Amino acid sequence: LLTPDMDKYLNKVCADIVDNKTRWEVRAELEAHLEDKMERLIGDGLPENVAADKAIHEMGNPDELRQTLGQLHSRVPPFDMRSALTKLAFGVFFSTFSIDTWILRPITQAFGFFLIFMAIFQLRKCNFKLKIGFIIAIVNFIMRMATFAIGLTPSPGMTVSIILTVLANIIDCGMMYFIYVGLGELAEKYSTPGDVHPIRKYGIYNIILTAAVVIIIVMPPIAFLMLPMLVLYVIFAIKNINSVKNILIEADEGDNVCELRGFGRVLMAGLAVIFIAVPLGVAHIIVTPDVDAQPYMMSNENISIRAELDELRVEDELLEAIPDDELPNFEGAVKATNSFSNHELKRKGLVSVYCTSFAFEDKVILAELVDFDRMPKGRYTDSIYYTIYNFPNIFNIPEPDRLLMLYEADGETYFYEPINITYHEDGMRIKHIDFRLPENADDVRILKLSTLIPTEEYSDMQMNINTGLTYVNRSSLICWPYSETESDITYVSDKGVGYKRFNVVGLITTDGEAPKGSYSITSQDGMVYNYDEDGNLIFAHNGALAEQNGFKLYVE
Amino acid sequence: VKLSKELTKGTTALIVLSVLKRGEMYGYQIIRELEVMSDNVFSLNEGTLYPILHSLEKEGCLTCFWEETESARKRKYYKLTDKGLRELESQTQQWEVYSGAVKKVLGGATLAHA
Repeated sequence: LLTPDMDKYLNKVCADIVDNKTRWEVRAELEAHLEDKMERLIGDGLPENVAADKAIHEMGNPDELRQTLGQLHSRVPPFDMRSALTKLAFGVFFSTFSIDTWILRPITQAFGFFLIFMAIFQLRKCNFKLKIGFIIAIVNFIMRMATFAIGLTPSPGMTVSIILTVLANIIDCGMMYFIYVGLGELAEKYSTPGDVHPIRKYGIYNIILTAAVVIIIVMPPIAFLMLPMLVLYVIFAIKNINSVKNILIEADEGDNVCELRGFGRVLMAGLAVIFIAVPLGVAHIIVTPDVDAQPYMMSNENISIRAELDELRVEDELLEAIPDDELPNFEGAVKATNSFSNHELKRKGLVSVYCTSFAFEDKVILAELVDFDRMPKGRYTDSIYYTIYNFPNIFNIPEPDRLLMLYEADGETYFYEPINITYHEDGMRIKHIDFRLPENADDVRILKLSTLIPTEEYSDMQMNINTGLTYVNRSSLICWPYSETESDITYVSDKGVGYKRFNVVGLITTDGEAPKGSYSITSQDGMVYNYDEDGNLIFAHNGALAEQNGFKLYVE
Repeated sequence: VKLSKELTKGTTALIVLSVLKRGEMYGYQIIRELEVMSDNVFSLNEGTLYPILHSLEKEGCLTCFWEETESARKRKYYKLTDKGLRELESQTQQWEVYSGAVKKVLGGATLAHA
């Protein structure tokens, strides 16, 4: 019975009703009315087209009706209490929450952005500055999430992640500046002319705060100021956003400050947040060290060390020697022997070296801890400390007082014990480690950070040769590469033999002698030379035999 | 007589409530009933009835339910609630006081002229 005109009329009349379900209900009701009316008019003897016109006409002016219905059904009651501005206040708080130790940070921040996005869709009285602030919020959200994602990948992921974090902080400033100034403008429009709303200041405060946060990151001793500062700032911000809200509510007689618009879009934003943030949050938890890990009982999963290939001094062209999918699987090697080195070649240009651990009588001793670093060039004068910040809390060091740093300064190689180690409150995780550098050094290059393995911890051990950079023997504990010579490293695993060229250097010990313990070295022609614990050559053979002795890596 | 909008504005809710006191009805039925009851004096601008019904429903004076008719047309029926009944009584009272006063004033005006 419904004519196209009626259809058009009904669509028009219901167009301003926000909620889909309500709109369809109202439409159905009016449709039934029109049909009833038309039926009756036809019954009275009117032709069909005249009846239809009359029915529509008597329903009244469609624009007026649309307005009345739109106003009547504009607000969705459950969202009245939680206004857009409240969401904005908490959104701003959570989205910029950046306390490192909180393992749920990606989720918290994404939740904050979700609240901001909801506010975007709800706020009706949005001015130009607020709109800019919201656009920046979207960019910021993408950057923050990218930061977490990249931070989870091996080096240089962490570096990129830190750069992105700094950038995101700068973008934060822009976001908050526009949001706060926009809110101030909004409030001023509805309050006494000439008034300047205090929330405007928060745009500037935020820039100061961000600068302070950057300073705190650079100067950990004052890190304790971060939390109280943040809390104070947030309390004042929320208080002021609330005052803006009150002004708007008053100006509007409690009505129309916001409404739920585009619920579908809000839902999509929420889902996006969940899909992006939850896996990131979980991954973040997984890569964050377990603070309860027991000393000497650490597993490889607890620590990951990221080093760039060139820092390991592997030449680039050799990366192509083994395609990724043909990389040896060292898990097999791990199972095969108690005493192993575990290396994993990950992506092109990167080597992810998982903690090299040595197992002796059920004890795992940690040997390699941190990625290599190059000191900035320049003259180092008296009492310069090199500080390693455990910025992302990647590693957990069981016996930090046994740490040694090996470095090269002006061509000379030194190793030193740390002069100071600063811990987190839990007493387990290291915040930073300070080393003293040699006086008047010019070009300093950190080669390695290692732990000493105390002799009393083991009785009998076999020497292990790792990437050709570290090995351990019974008496002098730790040895490092010394002079630069090119060497080939052959990996043997259950997947076959891999081959890499390393710029491995000569081997030295702390006392300058050849390492004790049995070990094997392969030559380029595939021969393996086995030495006994006193460093005497026992026999030479091809690689297959050596594997039975638990050696997974050979160095020439 | 065509009544002016201004005059009917304040009383439409009262009229709707009192029609619904007779039983549950759907929108079009209310209009028909009203026409019959008031001898076609109240020919409510049909479109305005629905916003009134919706706001009375929101206020809790009415409840509603959907029912399918023999012609498969779904109709929304409205029913007076207890709150609606109380509202009707209070508005009726107000109306009586008001219309009594209006009558008095109008009657007084006639006397003064005479």
